[in-house]
Amino acid sequence: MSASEEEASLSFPERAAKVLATTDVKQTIGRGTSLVAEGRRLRFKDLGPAGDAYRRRARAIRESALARLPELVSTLSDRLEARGAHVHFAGDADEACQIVAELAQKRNARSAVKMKSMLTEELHLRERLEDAGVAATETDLGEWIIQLAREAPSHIIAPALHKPRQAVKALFDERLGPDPREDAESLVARARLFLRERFLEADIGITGVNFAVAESGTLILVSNEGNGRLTTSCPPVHVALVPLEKLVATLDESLTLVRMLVHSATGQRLTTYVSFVCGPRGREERDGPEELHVVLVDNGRAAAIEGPLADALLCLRCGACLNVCPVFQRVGGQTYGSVYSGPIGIPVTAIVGEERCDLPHASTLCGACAEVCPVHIDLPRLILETRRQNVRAKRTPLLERMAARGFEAAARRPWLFRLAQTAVRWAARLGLLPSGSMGDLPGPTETFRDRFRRRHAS
Amino acid sequence: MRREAFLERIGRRASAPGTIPPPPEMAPATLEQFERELTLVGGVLHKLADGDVDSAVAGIAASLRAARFAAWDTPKARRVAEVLMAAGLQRIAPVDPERARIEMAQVDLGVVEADFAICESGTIGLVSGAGRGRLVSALPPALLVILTRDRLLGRLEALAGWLQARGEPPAALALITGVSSTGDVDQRRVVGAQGPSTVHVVLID
Repeated sequence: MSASEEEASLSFPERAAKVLATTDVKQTIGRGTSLVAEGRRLRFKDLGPAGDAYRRRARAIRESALARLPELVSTLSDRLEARGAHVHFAGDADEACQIVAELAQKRNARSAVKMKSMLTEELHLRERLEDAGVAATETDLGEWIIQLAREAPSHIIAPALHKPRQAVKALFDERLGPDPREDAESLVARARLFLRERFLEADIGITGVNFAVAESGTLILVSNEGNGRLTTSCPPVHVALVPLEKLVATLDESLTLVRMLVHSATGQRLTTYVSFVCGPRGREERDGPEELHVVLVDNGRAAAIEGPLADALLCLRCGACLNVCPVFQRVGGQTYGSVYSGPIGIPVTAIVGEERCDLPHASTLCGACAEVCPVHIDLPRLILETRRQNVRAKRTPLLERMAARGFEAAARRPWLFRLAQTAVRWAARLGLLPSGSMGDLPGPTETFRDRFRRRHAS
Repeated sequence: MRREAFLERIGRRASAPGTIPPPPEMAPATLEQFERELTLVGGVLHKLADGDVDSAVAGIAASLRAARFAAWDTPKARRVAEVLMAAGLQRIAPVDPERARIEMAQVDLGVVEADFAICESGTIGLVSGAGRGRLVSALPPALLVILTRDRLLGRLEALAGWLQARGEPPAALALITGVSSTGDVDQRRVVGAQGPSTVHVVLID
């Protein structure tokens, strides 16, 4: 198999071992995550009790939206259609890609500009468009960098976090032509120039959304770079893909979610740009898209609402959990080998239908993630649930399941437990335990149970 | 897939949600906060009496060495446009929506009038419409915003009420908080990714 296929077939522990042995992830991922985590911490410290109040409100808003989802989907669609937008419904990834590819075909589109969207990664939309002859360029600088490098993202909001400046320069020199300037400002300037050309020629602008407001039929997109505004306003067609869980009932509620998203992601008061889109350009407008298409996507979410992983649908995609996760900080997002990384990535990956045995164990269950989650998702509980699901579906190794069953049998029968303890103690004394395990430690003179019985015998 | 079939797939959540608590009471955000926050996010604030606006605008254009500008067709923006043309700048006013992006990419300075501003974050709000293009504030490297004190709002939450009072929401509304930047290279903030790298706000008393 090819190098990348081989890489893709590794498990999380195998990839993690490679990363820890070879790259200086502490410099890039460690530093980057600490910076934004600190930003978040300072913002919430500043807010004080109001921060907690906002978080409780944000959680209630998300829960309410999930409970009323069919109604919200209907209202959103009605409002958008009333403004001249086209609304499409996609049950799964295939259908979503089909819809967008057909739209592109109808418009004879050759090139597209894309704004960062986890959903489009999940759908593998870009590859599907390339098959249909549409070259799609990512326009978030970080996303574009990894597109050029043909790599996977290492973080939800900072996808090229793992690439130091020198690596970016080398990449630009290789793919855009040589340029002696090494400083970050020059690199950004080179990127700006290249991406501008794409904005000016693109036939289609493709985005996700951060939220979709039902009552007013509004799509909300945030960015710091400005590529969101250009993606939605330069090309004659705007296609917005909306995953089910991004719906919210009112504008009022959406503003709390925007606030929590931005505060939790970077600690900013607001991102540089927040765009509210309600329709294609009006008849009297002289710029903006002629056509707006909104594709509502299920891909596992509709079914998950009823299930034990439903709380993962409350996620605002802020990345705060990634930034404080001791596992993520050490190895970065690419190590997870899935579209969604970090703590939230574990249940979400299961929801969108990818069966992974290794991912649910990419966690120490320390709970740092749950502490910072702006909508109070109990991530450790969800991660445990994915482990449970793997066991029930018999996706875990047979030996492991047998060992667990054995332990369960002994734990339920005190006599058997005591027997097993005695056996292990004798095995240790006889030097039968493998070295490097507890066989190397000096054995206790008596077991805890024996000591307890001795001391507390009435 | 048809809407009805799509809706039928959606499961019912196990737990019933409670009521949604209102946002917490916060101290009102003031003009001073607007000034402070705008500066923090890289904007330049010019607090001026009405009579000083014209010369200030000419000065800003000169400092930017701007040759071509585009402006909204609103009363105050029109006035600024006249000042700039008198100073020798060429006005670009795209008419054909299909050529708008190409023409706007030639512009050095965009001039708009803020529909509102949010003091809490140093944010200005722009509503798209007739004579109020989107690209004027998105493509050119420099942006000049005319703001009057009567358009100041306190916190982000005030936007909901503002939009409701307006009636039908606009096709596009943009909140702009300072200058375009990216942290994607070197985990350092670099100004001037895609949007304007310079934002001047002329606040008329």
